[in-house]
Amino acid sequence: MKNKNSFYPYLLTLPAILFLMLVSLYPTLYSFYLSMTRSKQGITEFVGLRNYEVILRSSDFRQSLQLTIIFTVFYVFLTVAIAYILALMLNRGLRLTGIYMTIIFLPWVLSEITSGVVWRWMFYQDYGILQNLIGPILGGKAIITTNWGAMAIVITATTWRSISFAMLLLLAGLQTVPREIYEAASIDGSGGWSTFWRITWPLVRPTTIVTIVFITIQAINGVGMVLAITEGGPGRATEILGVHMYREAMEFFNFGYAAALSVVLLIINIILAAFYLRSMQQESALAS
Amino acid sequence: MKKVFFVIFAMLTVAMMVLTACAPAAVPTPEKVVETVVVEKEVEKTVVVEKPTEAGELNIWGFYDLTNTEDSRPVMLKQAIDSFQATTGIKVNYEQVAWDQMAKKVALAAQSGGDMPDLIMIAYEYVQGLVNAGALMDIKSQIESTFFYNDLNEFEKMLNEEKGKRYAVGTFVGGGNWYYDVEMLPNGLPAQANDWMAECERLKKEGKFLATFFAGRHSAAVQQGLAPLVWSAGGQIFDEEGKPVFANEATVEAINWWRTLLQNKCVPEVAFTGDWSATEAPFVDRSAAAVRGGTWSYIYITGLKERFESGKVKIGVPPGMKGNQGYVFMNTETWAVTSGAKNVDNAIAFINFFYNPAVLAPWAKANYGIPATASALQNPIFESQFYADSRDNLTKHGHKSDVSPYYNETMDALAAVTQELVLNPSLDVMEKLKQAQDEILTKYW
Repeated sequence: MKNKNSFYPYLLTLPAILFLMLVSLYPTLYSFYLSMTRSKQGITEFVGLRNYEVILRSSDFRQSLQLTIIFTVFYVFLTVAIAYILALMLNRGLRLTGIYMTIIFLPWVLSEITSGVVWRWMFYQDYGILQNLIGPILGGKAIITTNWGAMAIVITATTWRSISFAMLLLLAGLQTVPREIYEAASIDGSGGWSTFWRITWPLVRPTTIVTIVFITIQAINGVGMVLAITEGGPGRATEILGVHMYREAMEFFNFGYAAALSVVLLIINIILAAFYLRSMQQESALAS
Repeated sequence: MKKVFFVIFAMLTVAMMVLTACAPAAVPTPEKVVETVVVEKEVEKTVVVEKPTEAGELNIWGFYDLTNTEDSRPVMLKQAIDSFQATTGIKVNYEQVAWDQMAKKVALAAQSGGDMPDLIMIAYEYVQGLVNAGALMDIKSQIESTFFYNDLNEFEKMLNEEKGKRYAVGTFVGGGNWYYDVEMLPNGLPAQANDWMAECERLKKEGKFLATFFAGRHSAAVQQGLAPLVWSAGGQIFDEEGKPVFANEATVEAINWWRTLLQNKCVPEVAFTGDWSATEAPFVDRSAAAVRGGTWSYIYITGLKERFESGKVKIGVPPGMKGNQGYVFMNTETWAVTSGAKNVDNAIAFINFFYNPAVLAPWAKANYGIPATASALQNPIFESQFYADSRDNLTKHGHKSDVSPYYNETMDALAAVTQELVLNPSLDVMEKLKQAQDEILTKYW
């Protein structure tokens, strides 16, 4: 009877495990297999670790990795910083909070491609509204045609779109801080800055870390906005890893090489996820 | 007891899911009939088609929405499909896939082992990539035995037959056309790149650009823009094996010419950074005197058809380099049979039906292309200035695009480095070209 009971929970979870294996584990394993193949003239051959070797030697990959790091650092910093400020403001129970929330959420509701195309149009030379506003200050140069300008536009646009998501996570964290603590701090004479550093920041830190990790993973895997705004250009100035992988798979149909790139991205994401779990564990330990 | 039932139910559910996923697709039993049918509706001429031995189904992926009655192309395609079904008894299942998504969707279906259509509509430049992905079938032997094979024009054969293989058959042939505004360029487009500067200076004083063309981050920018200049300057993009050899003096010369045009404001910057419509806009609003488009531009560039028909716009000669003649690239829209086709005979039967001059001629006309067969070209609908000039242009200046197993990869890499070099004149052209070429060789060869 005891044996039967211990077997029973596994049986109950079996359908869910099988389903997860089918939709998650199988594609992952298949990607590993695919990353060791190469197709040429319709013939697929097993090439072992050749695709990984090519990735390590590829200057395009190194350039994409550098661009991904630059993009990620600015995107994550700006998104989390602005989202934090907005979350702090909304947490104070301002009037018309619902309207502010709706406005802030609009970019998140719009599709990546739609938003991206609108951003691209805004920077067209001669026609773009933002180009006409900012361009003259920068000597009339079309901003989107410069390497730094294109990257700045991509970072700004993706930040603009992701702020609401980050803000929602941070606002949820802020709302878990008991009001009584703030009241007690106020009675003890704590000022705004001191209250933030000594109460708000430590208590919301786990949520902040989760937000940073989520936004970082989003940055590393991001494709849609960059493709819609610059398609990775000018030249390769905004070809971050996600776009590089997309091109190899969806434009050149080099599924083997693209799969190898996806494995590299997976490893980066796993490291970030491990960091996230470790941070969570440390926070739990501290809390207990 | 309830627990036991629940466990059995759960296991049965999982088993059903697995069995359903693994089950082969239902294949309809074909009816074996051989008969000759005469069609007297929907087309101008009487079409005689031999009914294939096995009627059944045909799955087609095409570019057009067959419910669209505003555009003549979907209307014609629907009429052709309806006639084909009525004639042969073969049921056609049609699915619309956007032209720029077709190759991706077919390649993904081939890669994932998913259901593939039997027949697809595909632009010439995507064919090689799909061949590499193992998504297309060599149909040389089937096409050689058709009634229209010997009727195919030299353009079509040049584009679609390579080393004894054929993966697609073109319906109409198009290519690059340089259109110019007669009032702004009364002497026409200069035949040599070096002579462009004089016209450029004159137009600049009027606040106009000499020309605009798409030269952004896209393989088509090289295929349509840079490659013809390289060919004219005596260079090549690929060697005989299909290996990239674009790091040569001819490419350097072509890129330097583009740099000169941009620096001297002979072309708008948007040509190198914008999308198709943005680069064509200066010609539409007459701030640029010429545009490099193609035969298809007749449909897509706003107002071009009207301006051409009223004599305000003409087709000019492409710019030549180093005193050599200029070139334009040639292209074709094709039908191709996929490697996963379950109804190959029906796909060939449809192609056979489609190449009847009564079907092919109006189809080519609707696309403003030159029909792929000589007999379709005899149709009086092609007796217009546009067709005469386009044919003349392709005959004198048409150049077949190179072939390579890594065509798109190479063209994209060249497009990226060209854009970078044109926008940043301080970079060393040859050094960057060599770097891009080496990257392709390392990655794919």
